[in-house]
Amino acid sequence: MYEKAVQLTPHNANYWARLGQAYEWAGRLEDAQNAHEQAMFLSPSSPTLNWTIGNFYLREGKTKLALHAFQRTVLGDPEMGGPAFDLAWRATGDGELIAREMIPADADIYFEYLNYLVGTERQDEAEKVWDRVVELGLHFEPTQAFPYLDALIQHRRIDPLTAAWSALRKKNPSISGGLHASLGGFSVPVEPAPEMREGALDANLVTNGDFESEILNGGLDWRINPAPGVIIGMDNSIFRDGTHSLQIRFEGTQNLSDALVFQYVPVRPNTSYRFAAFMRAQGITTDSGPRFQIRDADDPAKLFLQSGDVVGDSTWVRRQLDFISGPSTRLLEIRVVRLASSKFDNRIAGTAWADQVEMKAIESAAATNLARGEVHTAAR
Amino acid sequence: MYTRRWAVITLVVLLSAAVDAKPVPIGTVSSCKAATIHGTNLVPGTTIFSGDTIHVGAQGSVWIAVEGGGQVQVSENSTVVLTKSPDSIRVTGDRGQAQTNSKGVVINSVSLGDIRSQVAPKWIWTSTRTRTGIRTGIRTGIAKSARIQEELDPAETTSINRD
Repeated sequence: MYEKAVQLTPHNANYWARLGQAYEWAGRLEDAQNAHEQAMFLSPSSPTLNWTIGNFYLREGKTKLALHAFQRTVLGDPEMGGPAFDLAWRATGDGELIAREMIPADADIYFEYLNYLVGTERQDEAEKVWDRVVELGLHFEPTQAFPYLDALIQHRRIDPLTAAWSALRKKNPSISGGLHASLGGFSVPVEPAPEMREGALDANLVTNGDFESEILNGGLDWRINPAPGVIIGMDNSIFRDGTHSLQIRFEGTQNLSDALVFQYVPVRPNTSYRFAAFMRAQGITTDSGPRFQIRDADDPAKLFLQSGDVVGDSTWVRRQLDFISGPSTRLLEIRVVRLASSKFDNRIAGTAWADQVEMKAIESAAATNLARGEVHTAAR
Repeated sequence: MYTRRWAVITLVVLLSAAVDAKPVPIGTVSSCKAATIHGTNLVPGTTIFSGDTIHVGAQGSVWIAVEGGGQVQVSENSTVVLTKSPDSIRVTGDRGQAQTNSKGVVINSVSLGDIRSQVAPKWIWTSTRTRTGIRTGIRTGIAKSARIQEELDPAETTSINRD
């Protein structure tokens, strides 16, 4: 039937592809390949036809040709990325071959592939692909890298995490502070950021600690934890430094007990650090206001500190916590939290601000009030 | 001397077989709806290799054109593994329903009809006892009925095949 169809309309690529399938089912493989290739000649960029011939090549053991066809498939139809990546992995199991032969130098497809690798727990391959993204200098939005960064955080791959964040900051100078605060340069991928090496004491490890940049809600920037009864955002009318601060407005409807804002901060084990931040309050009700907490991201039992809170009305007050990271601590969470009040009138209202949040490595001798692995509350 | 030579030859053959081990294609997806393969959405035209697991969700279905002719249909709420043996393609079901019109396909765990209405299936149970004493039973066959499953005591049985 399809032989007749291509005789009548020899320029119809779909008929040629159908004829190719029919030949393949009939075991006429050479005729099948000729028919598929005629279809490709007539419509070389069709994602559907490339998918069809790619699968044919795979079944025939012509892997490279198949991967090239799948590349054209995902270029023509990005939604085919998942099925094409998965098929390529099932067929070859070779990440290098897939990256070399199938993934085009296109940021969107690279990140689609990166997300596929992260989703299928192929973390080592994901790191190689990320390095390739950096190496190629592809243009992308920081948010595109967040699933990969979250996977690094989840798997506690701290050195690749700091390297990836450094690379992201290099590409997006608007991301302020954190790891590269004092750097003009760019670290080589997979190496820890210079601030993470021994002896780097001056750099602020907190990203966007002055809240002068948009909160990215991912990576090593601040993340807002949405909760009822509280509105969190930037304030450009009240600030300690620069032109912005973080504003937390409580609506008086909830007895909140959770982290409101937090960020992950990579650290070195057995190292002295000083955390400092400014907070301000206006009309904060109840006996429990917002405060800072620092804790080991893996196990708060290993390191947990919290500052005093702010309640009522106050001008800018400085909160400081000095501590030594534990022998296995590599990742901290810095959080702004509000602890539940046990009083009858416990629904918090009012507004608090935070600004100039810093954390730096310090000489051990300079540290005071050092705490290791225990609750430490700074004096108000 | 000869023993060592044969050992080396055997090793080389085994290694080359391992290097050459490539997935064996057994069919192509003709049509599909609400189905995944190893967690990735299935699309028509996808090649199915020996060892692939296909999951079909609610109101879904998959038709696979298999080598040698014919089709396998996997119905909604089913999970099947397709494997190629020297003389047939085996569809082994963990749950659900599969059908075929191909003589070269053997459906192991899910029957040609609806598993819920079947009265003549079979169970194969294997059981192990772990160091902590936790017993695990692995179903690798098909139930004649739920009652037969209950009659078997996996704790005392390492491999039982009730036909």
